[in-house]
Amino acid sequence: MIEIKDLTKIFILGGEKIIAVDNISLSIPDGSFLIIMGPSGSGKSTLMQIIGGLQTPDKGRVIVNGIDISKLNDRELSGFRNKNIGFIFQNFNLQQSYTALENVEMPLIFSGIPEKERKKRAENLLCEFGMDKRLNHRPAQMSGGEMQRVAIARALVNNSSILLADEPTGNVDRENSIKIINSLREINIRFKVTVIIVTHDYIFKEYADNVINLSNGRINAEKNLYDKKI
Amino acid sequence: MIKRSDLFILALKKLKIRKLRVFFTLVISALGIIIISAGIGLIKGVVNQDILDYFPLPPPDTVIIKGYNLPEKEFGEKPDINKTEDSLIEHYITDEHLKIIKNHKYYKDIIKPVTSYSSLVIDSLLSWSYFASDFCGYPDTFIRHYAGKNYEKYITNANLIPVIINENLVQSIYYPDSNTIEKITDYSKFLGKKVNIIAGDIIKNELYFAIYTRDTSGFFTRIPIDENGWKESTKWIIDRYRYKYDMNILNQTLNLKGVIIGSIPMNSGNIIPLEILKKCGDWIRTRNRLAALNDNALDDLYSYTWAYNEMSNYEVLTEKNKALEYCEYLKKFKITADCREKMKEEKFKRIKDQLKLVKIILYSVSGIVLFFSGMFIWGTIGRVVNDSRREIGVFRAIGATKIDILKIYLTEAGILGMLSSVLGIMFGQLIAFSLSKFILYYLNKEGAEKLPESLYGIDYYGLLILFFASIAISLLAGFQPALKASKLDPVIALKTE
Repeated sequence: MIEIKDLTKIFILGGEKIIAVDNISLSIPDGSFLIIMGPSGSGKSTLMQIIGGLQTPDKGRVIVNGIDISKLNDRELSGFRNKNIGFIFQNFNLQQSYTALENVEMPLIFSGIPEKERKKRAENLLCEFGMDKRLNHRPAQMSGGEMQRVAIARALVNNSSILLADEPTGNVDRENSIKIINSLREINIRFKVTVIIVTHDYIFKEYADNVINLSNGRINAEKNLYDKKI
Repeated sequence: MIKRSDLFILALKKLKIRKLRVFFTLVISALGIIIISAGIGLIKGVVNQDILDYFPLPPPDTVIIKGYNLPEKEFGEKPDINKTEDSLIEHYITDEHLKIIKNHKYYKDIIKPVTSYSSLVIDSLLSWSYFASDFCGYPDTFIRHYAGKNYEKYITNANLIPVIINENLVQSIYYPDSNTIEKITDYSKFLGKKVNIIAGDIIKNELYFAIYTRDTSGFFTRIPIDENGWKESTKWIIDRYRYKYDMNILNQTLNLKGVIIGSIPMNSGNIIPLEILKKCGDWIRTRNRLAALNDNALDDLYSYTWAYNEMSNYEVLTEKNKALEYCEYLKKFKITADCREKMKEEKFKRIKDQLKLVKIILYSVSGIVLFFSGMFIWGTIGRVVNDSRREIGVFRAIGATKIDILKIYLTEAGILGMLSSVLGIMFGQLIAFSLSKFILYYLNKEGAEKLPESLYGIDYYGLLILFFASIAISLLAGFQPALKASKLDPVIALKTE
C-alpha cells in the first residue's frame, strides 16, 4: 500500500519557484496497475521519483508498506529502494559492458547477497522470462524486447513489491508499445506487484486499473479513474 | 551495503571497460615509481658496500698508545688514578696528534721511551700493542700498514679450523660453540679455494705446519701436520670434537682440504695472509737486530717477562697533578681517546650524509613524480566518473548508497595505485639490477682495479614505504572525484545523455 499525503515538491530554477507537485494526496493499493499521465512539466515524473525514493518531498508524507520514506536518511532510503522498488527506465538503462546475468545481479550486489545465491536468483528469473539462452549476452547483442525483459528482471530480482516505469514506451512504435504494456500487465498479475507507469501514451489507459492525470502538479480530479473505482 | 569482495570485483570490471585509459594511467604512474624504485635499489646497493674499501682508513702509520691510568674515554677527562692494572685501556691517536702530545713538557715524564731502545721511540709506543700481540705475534699497526686498505678483512676472526668434506664445508672447529659455518664461508670468499692451513711463528721464520687448537680444558695443543698428515689430523679433530658432529659425517672418510692462504698466529684470532705476515716478520726481525745492538737488549723478545717489563714503562701517570694538567692540555687539542675511531666514524658519517643528500634528492623527485602520478589518477577517475554519470544514477536507483558509490571509485583509484606500484617496483628493481651489472661491466672493461660484487640492493623498508605511499596517493587523488560521484543527484544522473 502506498499512501501519499499532502505531497509538495518545489524546485527553484533560475530564481523562479516551480511547484512540481502541489499538495497531492493519493492511496495506491497493493497490486494495482496505475498510470500517471499528463503533459510535460505536469510533475508526473517527480511524483514517481518521490514514490521511488529518488527524491525527497518538501512537504507531506509518502508511506510505502508502512514506512514513511520522507523521513529516511540516504542509507535507509537506498536500502528501501533496493528492497522495495524496481525501476524500469526509458531505454532500459542496462549496463552495456555487462552481460544480461550481471545486469540482473546488480541490485543484489548492493543488498550484500553472496555471489552464488545472486547468480542463482538472477539466472532463475531470466529463465522465467525466456532468456535462458541469452544469459551471457551483452545488451548490444540483444533485441529491444530482450533488453526490456532484462530490465524487468533487474527490477524484480530483489522481490520488489513496486515497479516504477518512467516512459517505458518513449521511443517505441505502437506495435512494440503494446508489447511492453502487455508484458508489464502480465508482470503485475503474475508477480502481484504494484506497477506505476509514467507515460504520455494514451494506449496505456485501456490496460490500467487506474489513471491519474496530472496538470501543473495537481491531480485532475475529473480524469482520476482510480478514485472513481474506489 | 555492498560487500568488500564485490566492491573489488565491480571496480575491476569498471576498469576493464576502459582498458586503454587504464593502461595509459598505469604506464604513467608506474613510470614514476620505476624511477624511484630503481633509485632505491641503487642507493641500497651503494650503502651495502664495505665503504672502507673505497675510502681508506686513516694513514697506516697511525699509532696506538696503551697505558694505565689514562682516562677511559677522553684524555681530557680526569684520570682515575685508583684504577688497577686491569683497567688498562687503549687510545688510538694519529701522527698529527702524536706530535702535539710530544710537545708537552710532561711528555717525557708521561711516556718514557724505553732507554735501551732509544733508536726506536715510536716502536716503544707500540710496545703495548706488541705485548698484547705477544701471543699473536704482530702489532695491529704493522698488519694494518702492510695490509693497507684490506686490513679490515685480514683481522677477521680466525679462531676456527675449517673442516671440509669433499670440498663442502662442514663445520669449524676451535671454539666450536661460537663459530659458525658462515664465518668459514666468508674466509673462503676472500682467501681463495686451494691452500694448506699454515700455522706457526712467522717472526721466527718457523712454519710448523701445525694447527693450534685448544682442547676442552683450555690448553693449547699443537697438532703436527705434514703433507701426508692430513688424514691423521682430520681423525684427531673429529675424535676430539665428535660430540659436535653429525653421525652421518662421522661415518664418512673425511679429508681436510684447507682453504686458507696465510697463518693463524697462535691465539691471535686473526687469519693473516702469508705475504703480509712475512713483511711484518721482516720488520720485527730488523727491529730486534737494532735492539740487540744495545747492551740492555733482551734476549727473548717474545717472552712474557720482556713484554711485561716494557709495559711497565707506561705506568706513568702516577703524579696526579701532572696527569690532570696533561689531560687539560690534550683536551685543548680535542684529542680524544678514540679519535682515530672517530675519524673513521666521521668519514662514514660524511659518506652517509652525502648518501642522505642523494636520498633527499631522490625522495624529492619521487614526491614530484608521485604528485604527477596522483594528478593523472585524479584525472582518470574524474573522467571515469564523468563518463559514468548515468551508470551512477542507475546504481543509486537500484539501491547503492552514497558511501557505496564513494567506495567503488576509491577502490578503482586504489587498484590503479596498487597495480602501478607493483609494476613500478618490479620494473624499477629490474632496471636497478641491470644498471648495476652494466656499470660494473663497463668499469671492469675500463680496467678498474677493484669492484664491488654488485651496486644493487633490495631496500625492503624503502620499497614497502613506496608501495603504501603510492596507494595512499592514488586514494587521495581518487577521493575528490569519488566524492563528487557519491554526491551526484540520481535523478539528474539518470537524465545524462
